[in-house]
Amino acid sequence: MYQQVCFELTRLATALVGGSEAEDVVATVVARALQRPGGLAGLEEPRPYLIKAVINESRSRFRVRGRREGLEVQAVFDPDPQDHRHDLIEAVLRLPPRQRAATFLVYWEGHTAVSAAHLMGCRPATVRRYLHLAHRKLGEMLDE
Amino acid sequence: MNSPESRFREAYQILLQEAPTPPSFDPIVARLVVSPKGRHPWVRRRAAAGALFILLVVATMVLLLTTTTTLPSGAPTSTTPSADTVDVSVLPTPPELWSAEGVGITGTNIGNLPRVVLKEGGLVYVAGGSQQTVTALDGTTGETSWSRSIGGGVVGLLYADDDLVLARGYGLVQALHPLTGESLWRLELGGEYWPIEAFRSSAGVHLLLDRPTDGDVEPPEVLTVDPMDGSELWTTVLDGVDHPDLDLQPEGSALYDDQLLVKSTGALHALDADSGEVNWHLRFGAIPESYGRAPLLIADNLVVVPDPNGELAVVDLADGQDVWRRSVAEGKVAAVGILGDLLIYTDGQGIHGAAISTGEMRWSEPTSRASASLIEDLLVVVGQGSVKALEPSSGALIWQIDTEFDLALAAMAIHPDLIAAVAEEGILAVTLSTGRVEWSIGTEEQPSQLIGGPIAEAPLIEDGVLIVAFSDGRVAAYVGDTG
Repeated sequence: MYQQVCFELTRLATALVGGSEAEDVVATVVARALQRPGGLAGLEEPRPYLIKAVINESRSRFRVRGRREGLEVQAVFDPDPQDHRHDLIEAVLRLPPRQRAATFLVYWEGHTAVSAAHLMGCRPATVRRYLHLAHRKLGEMLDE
Repeated sequence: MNSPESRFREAYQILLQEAPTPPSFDPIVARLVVSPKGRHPWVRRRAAAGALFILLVVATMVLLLTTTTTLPSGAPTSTTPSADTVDVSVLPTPPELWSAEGVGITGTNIGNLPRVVLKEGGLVYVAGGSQQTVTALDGTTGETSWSRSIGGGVVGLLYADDDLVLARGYGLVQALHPLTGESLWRLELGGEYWPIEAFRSSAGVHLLLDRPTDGDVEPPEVLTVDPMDGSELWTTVLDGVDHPDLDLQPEGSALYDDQLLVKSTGALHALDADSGEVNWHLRFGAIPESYGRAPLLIADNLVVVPDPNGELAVVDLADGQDVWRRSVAEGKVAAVGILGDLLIYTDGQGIHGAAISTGEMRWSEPTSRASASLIEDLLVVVGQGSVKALEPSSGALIWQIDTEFDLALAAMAIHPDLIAAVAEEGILAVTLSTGRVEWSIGTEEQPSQLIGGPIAEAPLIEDGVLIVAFSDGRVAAYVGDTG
């Protein structure tokens, strides 16, 4: 079962905390799931459970680092001042984790609002609200 | 200017270049072994299982030695118990007609798997992938007939018939000519509109849209357009229902007798397809905790409304009044079919037969995570680890096959006496009358960067040919009837 979800979890963790911490986030949440009675096999829906756990663990680390600090762009992207993508990456990395998770699941992984809501453990309207807020914040940060 | 969606995708494409290899499972377990709290229960169970296995081996050897020495000459010394679970590795694979690699798929964008949606005029339409394309494959050779880039993150096809193919992106609907892929018209709805489903009636093309939100929940709307040019004919906002959750449910709506039945998580609306006028609506109760697909079932002027939140309602099609409703176990709630006065449905606990006129329960069969279909005169149930044929009126078991498949997708007819039991892990063909397993597909695929098994969705079956979309982007056609 782990083999079926590990790549998805790692991609999500990379989008939320960066490549340097992603492996540790995934290992941490899987280890916690194994400590539950019945382990991974005992979970009714392991995939949404683990995805929610990755988001929560990322939020926890995000809070520790401080919201303003966000992720270091240099850690994930070689900054060329002339490259417009530097500002884009920085703006995306400054979004709160849930908004970033919603945009990642919908715009990268291709989920609908309904299926992303199922994975995130919230209502589809909440996912669409996260997307709306992320659009607005991205526009503000890029001075549009 | 790039759309917000494309900018997010650009950002994530860059971020994922630094994605590490997923951590191996054993080191995670090792963390638990050396944890200060002592050995983890899972590790202890594994160790205990190992000790038990050794004990069983020793005991078996002793038993065998004893038996061999006491059996009369000429008697069999032992018999291998028949395997209860189907060994798919020894089953043949049906003849492959054609295979198309990587249709609409690039990289590891797993959410945008190819979707085979319909076959019209000899073409198979496939949509999805980060290439944001719709592709038409020749149904007899698998060769690409045409491929059209849509943009806007295509996540599926909305509709296809002999003269119209509708693709959806984020905030857009694109109409294509089914034989050439030529753009017929395009609706730019705005990036936060979500086209969920489309139906075509004599009145036009009905587009079911979740609407943009600005902090508040906005009710969905139905936009009906002229199929010739996409011009608006009427729009109805599905308001008037005091409910905090009105997101449209995929595959939850239906068109029946010029009445459009639109199902959201909070209500079912019946609209006049010609005018858009709301004939009636049915409000659901609590805010749903799950959002599974649960299509309506309509027969004999009744609508069976399954709600994944744990309710099953049977209502009068004419006025939306309840005939009966009951709470059901949350999970895969689906109305399977109606046979005489018997309604067959599944919920999170199993499959059930109830009188459709009164709701009186007739029988129940526990099968978790099941998909079921009425095929010929039997009820075929693909569930967690088994395929069963039941007698529909009583639920009596006719035959059962145990499999290693866990993620059931569908039970489908290939021809009247051959069925396909479809799970994400693979497809088994079973003779309906005998329960004999004939062949399997997709079972040798190993989990890769894709979630779930190798089968992306239930196949398209036509004239005994199965067209299967695989999770790695391949689409293949197989001859289903190998007899």
